[in-house]
Amino acid sequence: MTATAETSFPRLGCGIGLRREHYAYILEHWPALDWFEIISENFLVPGGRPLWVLDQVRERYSIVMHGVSMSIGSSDPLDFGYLRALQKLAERVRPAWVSDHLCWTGVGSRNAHDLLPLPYTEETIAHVARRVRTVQEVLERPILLENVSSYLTYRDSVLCEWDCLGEIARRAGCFVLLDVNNVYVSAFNHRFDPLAYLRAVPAERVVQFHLAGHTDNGTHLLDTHDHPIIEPVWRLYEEAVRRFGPLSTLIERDARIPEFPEVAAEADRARQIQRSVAEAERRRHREPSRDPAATLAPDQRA
Amino acid sequence: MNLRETQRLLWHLISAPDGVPAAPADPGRAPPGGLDAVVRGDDRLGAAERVGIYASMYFFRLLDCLTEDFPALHAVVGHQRFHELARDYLTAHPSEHFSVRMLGRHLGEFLEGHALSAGRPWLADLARFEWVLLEAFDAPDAPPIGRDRLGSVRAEDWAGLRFTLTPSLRVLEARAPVQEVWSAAAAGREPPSLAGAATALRVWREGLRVFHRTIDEVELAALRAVGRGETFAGLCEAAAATLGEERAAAERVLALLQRWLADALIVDLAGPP
Repeated sequence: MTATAETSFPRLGCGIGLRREHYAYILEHWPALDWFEIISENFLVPGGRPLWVLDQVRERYSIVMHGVSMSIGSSDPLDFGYLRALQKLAERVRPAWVSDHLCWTGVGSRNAHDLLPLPYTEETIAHVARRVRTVQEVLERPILLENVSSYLTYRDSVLCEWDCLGEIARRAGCFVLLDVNNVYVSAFNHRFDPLAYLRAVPAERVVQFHLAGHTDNGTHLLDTHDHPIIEPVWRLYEEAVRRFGPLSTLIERDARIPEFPEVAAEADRARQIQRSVAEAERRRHREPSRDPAATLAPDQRA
Repeated sequence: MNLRETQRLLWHLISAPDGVPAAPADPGRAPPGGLDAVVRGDDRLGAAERVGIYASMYFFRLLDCLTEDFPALHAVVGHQRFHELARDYLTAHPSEHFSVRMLGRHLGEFLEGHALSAGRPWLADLARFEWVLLEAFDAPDAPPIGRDRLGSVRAEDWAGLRFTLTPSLRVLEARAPVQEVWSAAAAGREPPSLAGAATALRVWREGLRVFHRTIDEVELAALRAVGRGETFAGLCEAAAATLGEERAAAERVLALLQRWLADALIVDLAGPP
């Protein structure tokens, strides 16, 4: 049987990114939270406080490893030193899954430490799909690729981003981390319909959502993770939950990080949206025209 | 263009030290038809402006990282000069590691030849000091030995005894007491003006906390001897050569060992074969 998102991955609920600004709070309060996502590179170190904190946290919460350096779309060779370090960390952390981005981060052995967009072409699909298969062999698990926010389109692109992402996932047997804020940001920057993106991504491949805030620069939106999530992104998230189900959802905050409870409150809101979508679904299935018995009071039943 | 050509061009454009518009002037790199032939612009943002967003993110992300990793250097030279230093440094040493944590590893060495260090050669030492603080912070964990372990060494084994010190230990020789500048910056005070007074320091981590301490020339010689894998007898010889007399050397080394124990520096002992 082909692995699908439904059969391969647990639904973790709603979590937030583990950031050092919150270490002291977490270690003191052990707050109720479904899960944490780590930036893998922050823990690819020999020892000391980062790994000590992580060991404590992973004893109490589910963890997902989210990386920023795989550079899966680069035309440079894969960095096997990095992949082995990632695999070693995964053995220690035992994450629910490992993810990175559909992007490239450098070329010519140089690293921009940024998520640079790819041209959406057949060459890119074949190149990335081949590399994802190699990565999955090294890591001995399927990975998730996230859609990035982008600010430019190459003239060479002949496909939509969502078609490219979906086709890579199908060919490589990997899965999708759908960043709802990135869909919103890129939709504004490239003038496409964000709902068209949601409709086109293969539902059986989507495992996780990301939610974050961004900055409105007038001419473009910048994916800064330094603001609360805006209302239109929450509405797009609701649409995503309707289409893909109550998937594991992660709130990302990377700059101007507020107190832990403020970020956790956004995870609560995501959870609430999942509940209300599920409730609406249940109500829809109980409508009289579909199931008359469900509308009868117990004493009216035979 | 194929994927590699596209990526090489974009890299060249976003990492150019003087911004995107200047970069395509290089005829060997400029695409025929200009940047508009590669990147789609629109009424809101032209192709160069869109690439410029990435160029600006490239530089400022890495500048932020260097500022965070070298706060005292940043405080001493000021933001504008640090910005210029970062631009020069990133041109000479673009990141070649998967982790941005490693970005500043050449900064101390780079500062040796940089105009900013003219008259203040210790700026390079300050950068090295801040770098070894980072190295100690996430160096491998290694539990220290207890006092009893040293106490149980038999008298006849002492001469051949070897010491393994914590992997977080770094020894630094600076041309000025740069730790004073660092402490002032960490406390938000005006950095003192430094001159002369060569200083040796050791930096290490005990548990999760990073410490530093100035060391005298005997301790410096002894630490170097341990680094060479020498025995207790070798440490005494190194101390004697520094002190200029043999009798006091063993006592000094024993006192150093007590201090190293107290500072959790010693993580293993090996007797003579």
